[in-house]
Amino acid sequence: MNINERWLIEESKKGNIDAFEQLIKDYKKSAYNIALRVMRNVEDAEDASQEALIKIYKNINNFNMESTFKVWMYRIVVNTCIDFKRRKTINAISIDETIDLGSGREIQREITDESSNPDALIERNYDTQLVNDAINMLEDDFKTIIILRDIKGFTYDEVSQILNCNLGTVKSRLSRARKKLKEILEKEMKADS
Amino acid sequence: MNCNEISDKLSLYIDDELSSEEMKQVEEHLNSCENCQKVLDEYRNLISVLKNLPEEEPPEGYCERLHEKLLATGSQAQNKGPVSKIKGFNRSKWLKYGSIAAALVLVVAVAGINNMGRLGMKAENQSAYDMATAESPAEYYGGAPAPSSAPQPETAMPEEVAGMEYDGDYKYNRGELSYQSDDSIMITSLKEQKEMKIIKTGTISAQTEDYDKFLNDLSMKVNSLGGFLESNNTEVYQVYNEKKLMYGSLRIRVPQESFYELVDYLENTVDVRRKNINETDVTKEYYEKDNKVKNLEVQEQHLRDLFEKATTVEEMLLIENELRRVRTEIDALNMSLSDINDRAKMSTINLEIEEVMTASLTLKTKDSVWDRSKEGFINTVNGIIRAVENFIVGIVSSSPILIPAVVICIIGFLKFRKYWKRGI
Ligand SMILES: [Zn+2]
Repeated sequence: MNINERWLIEESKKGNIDAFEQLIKDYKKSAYNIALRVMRNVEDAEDASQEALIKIYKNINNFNMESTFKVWMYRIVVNTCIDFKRRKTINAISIDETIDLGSGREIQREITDESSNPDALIERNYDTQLVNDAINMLEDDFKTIIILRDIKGFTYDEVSQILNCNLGTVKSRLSRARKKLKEILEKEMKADS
Repeated sequence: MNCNEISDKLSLYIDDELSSEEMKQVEEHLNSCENCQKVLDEYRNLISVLKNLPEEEPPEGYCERLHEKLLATGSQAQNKGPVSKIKGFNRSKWLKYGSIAAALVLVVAVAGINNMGRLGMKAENQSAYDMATAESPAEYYGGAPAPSSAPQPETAMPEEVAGMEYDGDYKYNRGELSYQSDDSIMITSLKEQKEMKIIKTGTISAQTEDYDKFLNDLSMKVNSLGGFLESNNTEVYQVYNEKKLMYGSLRIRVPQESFYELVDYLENTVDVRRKNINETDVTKEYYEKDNKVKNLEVQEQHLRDLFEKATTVEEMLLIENELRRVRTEIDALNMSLSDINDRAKMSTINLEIEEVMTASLTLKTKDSVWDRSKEGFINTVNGIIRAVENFIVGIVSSSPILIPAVVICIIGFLKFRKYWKRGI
């Protein structure tokens, strides 16, 4: 943790909102994207990620400098999003279809985003749309571990702290998640061609 | 190891999370098995795609909405004044802020002027009351001609500032004002119904020949009057011919209506050496505070309405702070009101009682006649002094109203005289 982050945390603990916003500046986009992957629609993603960030602000006094802020905050983000989704599905199991519709639109948007961005058009065996789609199909446990390890690049140790499980679980779950994701992709590619 | 077992380990192999032994096994297999090599490449490829997945931008206004939520939580969670949070405000926000602050100041100022007007009136009422005896309430209520002039400067006030942003609130203010001037008139006419708040205290030093019997009788008497012994410090102060002589310092609380009964009782049972009766009329103080509470409650309601209408969090914070201040003031006033109530309802007698061998009860009647007349005289003088004081307070506090009124009267008188002269 660098000195600036430490200072920002201390200031946030005193209730300085400016400092807190500075502190989460680089993280809020991530938080939103995690929420988007879990919730699969823009509105819920905003609500869930902001709920998480507010929770972080409210609980910043409980953060001791022992763990890294990044790990601590991602734990709250992941848990809040999963929680948010659970609440949502309990409340509205019947409108599952609409949620799927929302995600469809989401993917649509990502395609247009990508076409306007030449950097994203790097030659790859898997294209982004397919991968996003496949991630969406994963169950939450697999999804979160893929997000944390492969998308966000956390170490195994950090992932185990964020998900509050032991290293063995991380290893086996990640292996299974990657395997599952690969299978889904292969199935999709077969269906495509 | 077969291909299936190997492919299960590939994920960990990529991340370098295998033990060195497993690592060697996988490497050996990969060197000899093209199929597994292909799967490994696919994994590597997938992981690299995942690593480079583009992130979505949060929707427009995301940060602003988050900011407002943070401000809202900030004010609830950390009970710090808004000062630390307003630091980074830009100019336009300050402008908005300023106008709200101005509106708030105005609410307070108007309420203050209102109070002042009423205070002046009340002081006059009070002085009239003080001069009159309790038996002539007609004089008392007749002594308040001022109120009709009081509301004038209040209603004139809003026009001066009507150009400001918070027009709607002014209307409310005006409503509040008229409500309050109605209220004052109501107070004047209904003053009969107001309970007097008089705190009676007596300090009595006396002697008795039988301390135990006296104490026993006294507590029975106090009980029968509905009072109680608040404190009792009894000690032996002298031993005389093997008889212990006692000394007690007692604090007795009795309902105010039984105060004089108890004083009389004491005068008849023990030899009173020193007596000091004090009646403090806190009616004025009480109702001033009471009015202040009412006024603040109107202010509070007004602030709540403002709060409802507030659109930005900064506004809410400012109003919330003001609300908190008003609430604290109300609470403090209510506490002091209940204290006055308590002290007025239950009078206090501080009694010092000394046990003696022979008490000199003989001089009692003669003394008390003289004492009583002397006391009466002092009370009357005190009353006059108080009345004069109150009158001066009344004049000074209503001077903002009276001075213009006098000026108008003088001008009117001069004009009238001119006219009269011309007429002749
Ligand atoms: Zn093989």
